[in-house]
Amino acid sequence: MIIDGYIVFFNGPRHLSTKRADESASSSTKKTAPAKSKTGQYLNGIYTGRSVSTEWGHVQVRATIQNGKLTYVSVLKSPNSEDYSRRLNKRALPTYESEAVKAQSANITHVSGATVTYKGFKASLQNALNQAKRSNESQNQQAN
Amino acid sequence: MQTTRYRLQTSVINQMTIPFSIRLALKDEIPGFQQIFQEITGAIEKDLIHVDQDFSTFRPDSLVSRFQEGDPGALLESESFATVYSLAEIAKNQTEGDFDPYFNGKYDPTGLVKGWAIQSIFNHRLRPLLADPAIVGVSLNGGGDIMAATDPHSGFTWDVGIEDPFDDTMIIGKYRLTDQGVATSGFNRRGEHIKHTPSTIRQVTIISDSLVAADVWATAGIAAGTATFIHLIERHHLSGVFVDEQMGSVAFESGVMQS
Repeated sequence: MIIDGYIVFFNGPRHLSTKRADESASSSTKKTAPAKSKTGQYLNGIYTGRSVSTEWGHVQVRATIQNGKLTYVSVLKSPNSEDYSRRLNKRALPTYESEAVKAQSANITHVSGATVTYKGFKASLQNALNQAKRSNESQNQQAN
Repeated sequence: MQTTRYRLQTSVINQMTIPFSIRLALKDEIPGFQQIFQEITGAIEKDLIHVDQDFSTFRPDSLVSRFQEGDPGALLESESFATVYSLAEIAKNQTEGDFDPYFNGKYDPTGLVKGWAIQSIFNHRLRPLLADPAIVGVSLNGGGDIMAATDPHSGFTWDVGIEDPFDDTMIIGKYRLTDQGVATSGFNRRGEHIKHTPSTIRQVTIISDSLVAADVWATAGIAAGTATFIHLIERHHLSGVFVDEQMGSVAFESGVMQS
């Protein structure tokens, strides 16, 4: 039944209403691939992709296709996808500890810097940390 | 004070011209662990190969390249492509345009693909290992973008040094991560995927529960320049540290500048 509805839906009107697109996407989670012509070209229409889960709630893409090409894309967000950063950090984050020292003398296990390319990796700090003798052991001090 | 020793297991994968370091912290020996660790490393390497095949702007057959040519297939058929597209769109809105996947005229999500890939792979392949009582920490570092988690009962932390953008043998400070992401952007090595305005900002590090958010805001900070970024930090309650040629290192917590 759903499959029938689905085929009718995508082979039907060239310009589909928003409501129908949404209903179709939610009622057939895995059948959101749009209809293709015999030559493999996508038929004209507005298609809503499957809902994907992100840290900002569920989102869906909606694509407008004309003559086999994408002409417009929009992203449908769930109401709670706003407030990008405040929602995220629910617990307190660790405090930054300012400490300008030679990296090799600092007791660290990773380094965060502007992206190192693999070519430069052999000479990089992270490689040194990975290779260092003490990398077999890490000491964590904790207060009792 | 009590000092506990942990064994670190490390492997490195080269993908997308970036070194990815997988590091685990063990408090006890696990029989046969070497083989398990090799298998995990192999699985992560395959994941990264898929990410590169899908998202490389240098491969004419990647989903991104096909999308740039107007092919709707990727957007409607690939869950990961649709996810990244949506994340990039949300990021553009939230950063008030300073993170812009269309900065080059064509869709290019490179600024967040690495953070998204590290976070997804980490959550799928590494985080579940913490269920083993002998494993107290798991981490994945892709060219300076890091996801790390620990067993909260162990007291173990992943201590991450923030590189000095003017001297890569030095760090300017550190974070002790328990379950967070850290991303750093700068000009010194790979600025080409970021639009930017002339500014004295040199490096931006963001810490967040989400590495995608950290990556996006670090990228946006470099793009925005110091003056605009300070407003974004306050408005969006960001935490991290930036390095400016004139101001030096400036740390901020939940949107508040630290003196």
